[in-house]
Amino acid sequence: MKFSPAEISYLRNSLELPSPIRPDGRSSQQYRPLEATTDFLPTANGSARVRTSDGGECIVGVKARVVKAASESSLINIDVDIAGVRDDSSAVVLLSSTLQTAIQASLPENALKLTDVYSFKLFIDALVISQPSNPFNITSLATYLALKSTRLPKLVSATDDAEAAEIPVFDDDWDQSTFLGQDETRQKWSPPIFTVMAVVGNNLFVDPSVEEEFVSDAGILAGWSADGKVIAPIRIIDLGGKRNGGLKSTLIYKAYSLLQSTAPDVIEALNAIGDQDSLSIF
Amino acid sequence: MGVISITVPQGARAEVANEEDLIYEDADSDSDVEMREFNDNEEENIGGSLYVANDLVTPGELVTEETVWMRGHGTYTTVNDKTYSSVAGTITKVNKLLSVTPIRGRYSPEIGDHIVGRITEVGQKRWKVDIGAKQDAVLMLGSINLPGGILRRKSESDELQMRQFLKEGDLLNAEVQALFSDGAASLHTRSLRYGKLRNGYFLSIPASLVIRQKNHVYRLPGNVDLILGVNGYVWLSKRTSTGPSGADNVTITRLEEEAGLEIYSDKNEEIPGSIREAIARYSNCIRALVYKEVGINESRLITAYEASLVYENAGELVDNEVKDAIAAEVIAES
Repeated sequence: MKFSPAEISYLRNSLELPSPIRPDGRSSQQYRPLEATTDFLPTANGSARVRTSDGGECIVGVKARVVKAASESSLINIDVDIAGVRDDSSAVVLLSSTLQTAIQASLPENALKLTDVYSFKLFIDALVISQPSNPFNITSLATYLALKSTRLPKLVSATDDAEAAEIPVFDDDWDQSTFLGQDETRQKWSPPIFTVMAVVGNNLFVDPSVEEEFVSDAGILAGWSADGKVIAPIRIIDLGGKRNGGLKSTLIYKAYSLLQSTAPDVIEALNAIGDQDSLSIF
Repeated sequence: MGVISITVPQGARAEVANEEDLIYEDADSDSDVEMREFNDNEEENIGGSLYVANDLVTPGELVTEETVWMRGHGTYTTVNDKTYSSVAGTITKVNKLLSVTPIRGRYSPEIGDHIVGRITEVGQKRWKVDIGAKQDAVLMLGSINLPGGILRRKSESDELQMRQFLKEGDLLNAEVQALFSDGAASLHTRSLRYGKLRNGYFLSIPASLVIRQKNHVYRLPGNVDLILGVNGYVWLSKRTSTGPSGADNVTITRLEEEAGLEIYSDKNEEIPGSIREAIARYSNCIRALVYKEVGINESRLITAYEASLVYENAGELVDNEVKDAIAAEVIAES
């Protein structure tokens, strides 16, 4: 997309003001409205679909397979596919590796373990059907919802098969299944989310639109774990804006506090969607 | 005001009905189709001039099998000489000319349309302009005003400095001067009302929501000018004396005095925050009307703007419920 110099300077000046004016009037910590559903793929263990108001759409499916834990390098496999973008492009690689590392680190240790030999392996497939602006936000939110809705069947065979080999057998009743990462107290596990903030001058904006990305100096990517902490990676990414270079360290602090003030609300809204959907089905 | 609102898409869960009901419905609808076909055949025997009960047709639908009609836009025929619709839209009849006007689709230029466009290419004595139509429009070097309003033939040196007037990405407003045989438009900007755009913000809406009118430049409350391009490209800007709404009464003899040297400038004037806020609010109002598929004109937009003042912060207007409320108020007023 091309912009005229007059448009660029109008947008940039508006966003650089001490009290910035975004082109759609949002406050700097306001997201655009989203539409989301979970658990819509009948053949997946968990799934989610998120749509943005500017026409972006992402669907995520989570499937679990029983594997011998010893022969697998990782029990989580994330595959991100962005329509129209090469699979080896930096955006796709960054997205999948960031999500993979963060989800792996936050998942409780024994969440996927079945027996001494066998274990579940999760295949998370994210497909970004269309996304005018940066795909990080939408993919991360859809992955969060999909993992939240993921259910694993209940194991009925013995868990101890260190000596006598035994093939795992599962309960046929899907109502007996448990949510991924659910512990004895039925407390649900929450995966981390990531958000991209656009930097314009001394200001930061969550959920930047295409125009905002275009006039931005850079983007700051940061994660938020469900237990209320800002998590790594906190890094500067390219949002398509032309002005690259260093950022003031104060902006990183600003990003930190911006995330602290917005992320809990985002998590709350996402959980509300997850709860609403699971109620309507079961 | 919340940080984020996430909703379940409407109708997403409606399909998860009782399975037995679904089977029944399927069986029912099957028989329905058969009945309808039977009825259709009956009508065919009687022979009606126009097939469809209402004026709405879908692609491939039989419109008429009478040969008296001349087939216009949006229709096609096969060897059997019947007329079918090639688009989804409404039937229009002018004397014996039958055409189907598409409900949605790309903008199709007509002579005299006031449009907003973006330069995509600088070529030999001409610019290519994206106007949201099937093809890019053409703006000839001879169809623009020179800085300072000098009236003369364009020379080779003008040809060499075309990029100093308009370059790729630049926005301009223009009038459709002529149409080529393939439907592409030729534009001109030979009036002070037209020309390069600055001091504002661009947004694009479906062309089908813009109603063709005599005037497409509006002076809106809050010191904002709006150019509502017939092609669905919209330009919101600060009101200036030389801007689109200020240049209405300039005659060709005063062109030289009025057309400043800066008509091809890329530099914005000083724009106060209040006007920037008003522009953001107007763009959100337009988006709200688009969201509810309400056709846009001056009075509706002003109604929407006034209705939106209830919400102190223009950012609240991105919310779908608020958009609904604004659009409902506009429909009630008009």
